[in-house]
Amino acid sequence: MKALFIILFTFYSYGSFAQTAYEKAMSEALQLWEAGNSTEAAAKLERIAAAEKTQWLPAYYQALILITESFRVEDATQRTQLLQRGNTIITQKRTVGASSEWLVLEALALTSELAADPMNLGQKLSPKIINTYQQAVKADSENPRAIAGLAEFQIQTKKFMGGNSDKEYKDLQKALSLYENDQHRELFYPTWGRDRAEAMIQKQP
Amino acid sequence: MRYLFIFIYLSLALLAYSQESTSPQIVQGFVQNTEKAGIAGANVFIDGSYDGATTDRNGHFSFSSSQKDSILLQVTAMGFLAKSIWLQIPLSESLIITLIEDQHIIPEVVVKAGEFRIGNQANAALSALDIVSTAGSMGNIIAALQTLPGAQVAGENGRLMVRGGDPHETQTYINGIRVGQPYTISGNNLPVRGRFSPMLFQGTNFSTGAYSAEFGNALSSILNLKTSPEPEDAKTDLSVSALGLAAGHTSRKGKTSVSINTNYISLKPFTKVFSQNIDWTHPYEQWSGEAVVRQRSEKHALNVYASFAGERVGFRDYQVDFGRDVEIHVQSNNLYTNASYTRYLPNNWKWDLGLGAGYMQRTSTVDTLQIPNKTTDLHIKNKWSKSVNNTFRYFFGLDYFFQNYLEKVSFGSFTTPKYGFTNHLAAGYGELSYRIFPKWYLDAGMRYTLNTQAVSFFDPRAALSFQLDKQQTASLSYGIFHQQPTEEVQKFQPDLPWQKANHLILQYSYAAVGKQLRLELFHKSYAQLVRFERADPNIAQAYNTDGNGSVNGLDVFWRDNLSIRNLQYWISYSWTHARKWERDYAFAVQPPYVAEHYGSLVAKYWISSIRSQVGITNAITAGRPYHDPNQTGYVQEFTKPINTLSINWSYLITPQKIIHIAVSNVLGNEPIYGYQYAQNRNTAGIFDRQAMMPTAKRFVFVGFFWTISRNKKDNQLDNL
Repeated sequence: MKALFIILFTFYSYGSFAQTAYEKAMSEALQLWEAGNSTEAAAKLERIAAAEKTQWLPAYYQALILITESFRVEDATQRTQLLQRGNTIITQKRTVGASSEWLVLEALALTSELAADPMNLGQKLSPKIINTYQQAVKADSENPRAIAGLAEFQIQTKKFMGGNSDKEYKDLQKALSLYENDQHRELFYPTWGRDRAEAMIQKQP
Repeated sequence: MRYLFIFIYLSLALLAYSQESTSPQIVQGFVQNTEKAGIAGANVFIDGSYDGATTDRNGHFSFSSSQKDSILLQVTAMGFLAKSIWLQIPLSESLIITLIEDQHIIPEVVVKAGEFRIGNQANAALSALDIVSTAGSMGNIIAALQTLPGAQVAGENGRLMVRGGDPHETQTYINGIRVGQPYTISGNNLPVRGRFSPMLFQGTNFSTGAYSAEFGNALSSILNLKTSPEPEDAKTDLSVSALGLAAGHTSRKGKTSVSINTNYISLKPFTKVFSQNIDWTHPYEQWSGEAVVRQRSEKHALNVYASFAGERVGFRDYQVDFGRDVEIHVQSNNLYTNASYTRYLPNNWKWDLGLGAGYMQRTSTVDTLQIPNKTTDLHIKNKWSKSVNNTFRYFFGLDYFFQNYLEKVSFGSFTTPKYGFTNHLAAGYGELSYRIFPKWYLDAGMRYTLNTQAVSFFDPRAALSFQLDKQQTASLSYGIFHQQPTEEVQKFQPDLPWQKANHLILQYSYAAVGKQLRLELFHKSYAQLVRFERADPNIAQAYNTDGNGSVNGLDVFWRDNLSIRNLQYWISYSWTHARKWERDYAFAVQPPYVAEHYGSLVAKYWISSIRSQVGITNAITAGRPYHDPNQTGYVQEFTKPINTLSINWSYLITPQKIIHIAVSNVLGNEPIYGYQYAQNRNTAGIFDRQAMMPTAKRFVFVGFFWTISRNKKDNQLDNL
């Protein structure tokens, strides 16, 4: 009995130590990002992704950081580089993990591309973005990031093109209640987007 | 037993945390680019561990690791190719790691001299939407291109002319496959339109000179229209306009889409409402149908386009040579197929197979003269491309062209025998793109052409580009180009030598987000231009290729989408100094189709409060030369400069329902493109003349476009 206990304890501690190393590194990386050091955060996540080939979240967060950064940079070449890297990660890793979350990332990357020159790219990219978000909702109808992302994009488009956004604001409300009841399916599963959805609702005309 | 377990436990724990029990080694060094400047923010790490660091502002890094022996060091940085290095730890010295810039991104910014890219790429001059939303273009690709520098469209024929070249000197391609009949039919001095709707194309490469070895048989320029390789989403399009009706439907199943479009156009209502300079017996009428099949997978892409068009136009107009009104009637049937297949092979090889086939039957009737003709065109294209790495790419291929032209003339009961020509033409080509030094790019190509008349020649082409910085490029292009004499001459004398041109272009370009500046200086020299004795080619005269000429000029293009919110505009100016001794010219003169100065301003403004885009285009063209036989001297007169102002307005009722209104030449100026003189003196001893003018002062278009699709964002803006 004692022996069995020791064996169990041994394996438990072995497993938990290894997991802790991953967890520790992941937490550090995400903290770096929160602190605004996105270069360090992305680099750390890249290292984790290279070490933990079966995990999808390090690569997911690395791509998320790159794509989020691409919205901020002014320089066109830099933006292209960030997006290309982000998209490469999406293509390489999308078979692992939650496909709905990867699709949201893809839509986000397309939106960043669009933001560079909306007047010329809108015609080509808007249908693609909407289509990608719709696929994300289809893959996981409870994904608040997919629902809110689609709604927000359509609200922004309608601001430009005109049209009624009541349905989109209803979708945002639905996304908000999904954020409330979000069950973390696994450690570090994406939770972002709630603040933005709330801010959008508050700005509802 | 218990101790054994404890031992196992400890050793496992030690294994898991082995790095904490051995003394850590320092890994440090410097990451630099090929010019030995440090790269900041590079990620240096040991593969499979969490150990690593990012480089500081100067490119230095340092971290400690407990990994031992042989490790794989990974180095990644934004804009550079990743690098992996096997190392032995502990390291004896500090590392110096050199990263090579990722050229996948850079060449997009490199602008080749003479080339205008139209599409959604980073360095595109215009997007597909720009073409249709340019005021005055009326959805005609060719009319929109004339707002670019180097391109002129003569009002009396509507054809594209580039840098002092006549309309025949530009060849049109779709997906790299030649289009024999790119224009709609017309009668005397009636402008033609591009045959293809701009909505078909995702991008366009418009070269104003020194084009790639992939193309040939054009003295001045090529226009390569590219369709999207992606299948289209299901939708139904309907449109009603002052010109006619159109309907289209696309269905999609997985990776295959099939589209069917039909179109009917009649200028009859327009000619009834607006006063016309000529007497229409049959205003332009066209009925057409097209089918497009697209399929794409990871291994291949297939694109098949097939179309049929029937056209008819008839009018009565004063003809100076007849000295009276003459009835002219043109009717044509046209079949065209363009199919391309791309196979993506291992090791970055790509194979393209293309087939283009056209058949056109046309009958022109001038007074009692009937001229029926038939043209058959075929182009088979075979091309292999290889991307060795990011700094080295090449392609090579083989082309086969066939052209058959048959014509006869009949008046009353008399009919001439058939005359015409048949051409078989083979060409082989190869071109490589190589980064010779950092920031220096070389494109070098060669094209070999051989035809059934045993005419053969090599055309070398080269372009050298230097990247001054991320936004500025300077480049120099050179090439030799040959072209067969035109159909109008070949049908009478099929065995003439080919005409020849040399191009030299120096370019500077600046491209930032939403802003673009291009300056080009060019020199083009012609040799072996076709010469003949009398004004128009006919069967009763001799032809030779003794002509020559040269064109020097400057093109300026400035575009800004950024400075003023919701406003985009571009300005272009061209100076074209042409002197050509060709056709029946007595000596080298400025040809009557070339204007020395021309420029245009295109502006588009989006007003979100009324969901409308309004556009304005103003084009100014200097007067063109003409010869007045009633005066002494030769080509001594110039026509008046022409100013044309056009406007358009698109109103989006919803994104799927659009109303579009366009008016060309709003101010109602009466441009005179030139004069036609009688070949013989009248009874008073004077050569009579007739001014070449548009058939109506203004052109007005009103249309309603409706797209029905599940995808709510799809609309017909592309169709306008």
